[in-house]
Amino acid sequence: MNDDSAALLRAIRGPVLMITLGTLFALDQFSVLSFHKTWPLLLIVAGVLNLGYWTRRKQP
Amino acid sequence: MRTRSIAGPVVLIAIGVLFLLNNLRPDFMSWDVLWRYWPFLLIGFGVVRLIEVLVDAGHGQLTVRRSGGYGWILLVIFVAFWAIARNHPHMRMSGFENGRLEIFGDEFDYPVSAKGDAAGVTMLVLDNLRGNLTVTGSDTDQFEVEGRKQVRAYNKSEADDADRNSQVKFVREGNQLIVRADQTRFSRDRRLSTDLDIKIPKGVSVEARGRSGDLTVSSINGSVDIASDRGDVRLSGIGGNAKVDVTHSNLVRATDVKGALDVEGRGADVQLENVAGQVTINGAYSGTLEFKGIDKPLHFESEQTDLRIQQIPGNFTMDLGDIRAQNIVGPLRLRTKSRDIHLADFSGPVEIDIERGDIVLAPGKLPIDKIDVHSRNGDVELTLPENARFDLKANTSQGEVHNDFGAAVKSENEGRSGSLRSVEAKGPSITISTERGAVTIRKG
Repeated sequence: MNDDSAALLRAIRGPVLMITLGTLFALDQFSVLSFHKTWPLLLIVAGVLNLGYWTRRKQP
Repeated sequence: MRTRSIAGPVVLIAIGVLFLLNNLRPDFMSWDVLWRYWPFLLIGFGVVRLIEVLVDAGHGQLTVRRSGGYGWILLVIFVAFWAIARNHPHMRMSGFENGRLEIFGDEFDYPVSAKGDAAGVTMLVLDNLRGNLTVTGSDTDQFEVEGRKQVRAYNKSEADDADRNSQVKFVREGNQLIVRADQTRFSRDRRLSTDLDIKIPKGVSVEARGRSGDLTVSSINGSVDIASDRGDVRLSGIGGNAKVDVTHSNLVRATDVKGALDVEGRGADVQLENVAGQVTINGAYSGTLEFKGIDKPLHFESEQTDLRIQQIPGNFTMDLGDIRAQNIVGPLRLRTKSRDIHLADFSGPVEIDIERGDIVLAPGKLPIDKIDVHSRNGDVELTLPENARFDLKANTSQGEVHNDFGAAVKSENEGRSGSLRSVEAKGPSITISTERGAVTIRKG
């Protein structure tokens, strides 16, 4: 079970990061939130995904 | 198991469709506008891949899909676009006019007001202002400005700072009065717009350059010269010539212009009414063009269309699908690709050359002038008054001919082609030819 959700988390990492990046660029384009202010969110999202992966992966 | 993702091909197809659309219908949309939506392509790419992963997981066969390198290539291209677009003023909207997301930050309003002596001023210059402006001519020697500046920011102090650094200035230089706001520092952030209501002595001319936002000019005896990036333009009661060059507009409207009118750019609707001087329109307009009461020759030119009309006492309407006119005076010359054409109640010679579309002509007035119609694909229908004098030569290479005019015209169908001829030539020539379509002549 843990193994499965770990694999799932790994699989969605790319897409989720891409959606986040697209959203930040869209916000840059259409609102006052410019990308140079919002970029750390990318790190946070990547960190959260990795953290989830790390806690669920198979213990050796 | 490694499988290729469907997202790459899907996005490639989407990009292909966009390019194709743009090539086929250049009036339909413009790249400058589309550039702004590119992040959604990235989001779409991510969403498609996410759905794939979740569907796979639902089937219990989670596989690592490769996007075949598409993802990273697209990403690099997009980031390059983004970098270019950021530094290219024409590629982005100022944001205060169109489709702005207004959920972050707050809007702060600052009043703008000024007054002064404008004796001797012959020219009002609106220099790179962002926002909606109204210029009205008055009978006094004063100029008077009322308005407000809107600043979008996270907090009051940031807004105050932006306001302080972008004061609207009224500078007198010789006989010019220049209205200028130092918004360059803030233009990139799209946070600032200044709406002004300007009253000036009516004798002046107005020049607006490098601005964005709607501009309304009324009751001015001088001329008007507008070179703007974006915004709607409304002119009424202009004593001199008017020149409107707007890169992107939804509407250009001019009524009661005494001088010549020159419109350039891309946009949607153009409405001209009661123009005494010559009219020249050059650009791509995807909406409806309406001309009423044009006294001097009008020339419209776009990538696919070339139109010249001597005079429009009645009205002339044109959109991407149709051209309709009533009460116009030729010579009229029209060359276009694909449109249905309906002309009624016209005089003077008419020359029409189209590739695709039906043509309905009813001159209505006597005497009939020369008519020359060529259509590659479409029906032609001509209605002539009973006692009109003319010399008709109509041919269709593939289609039927119908004669409802009577004995003065004889029709001939031969295989797939057909022709209509005047029995006796006794007037100006009417030439109709279509490669595929029916030709009908009626009495009415």
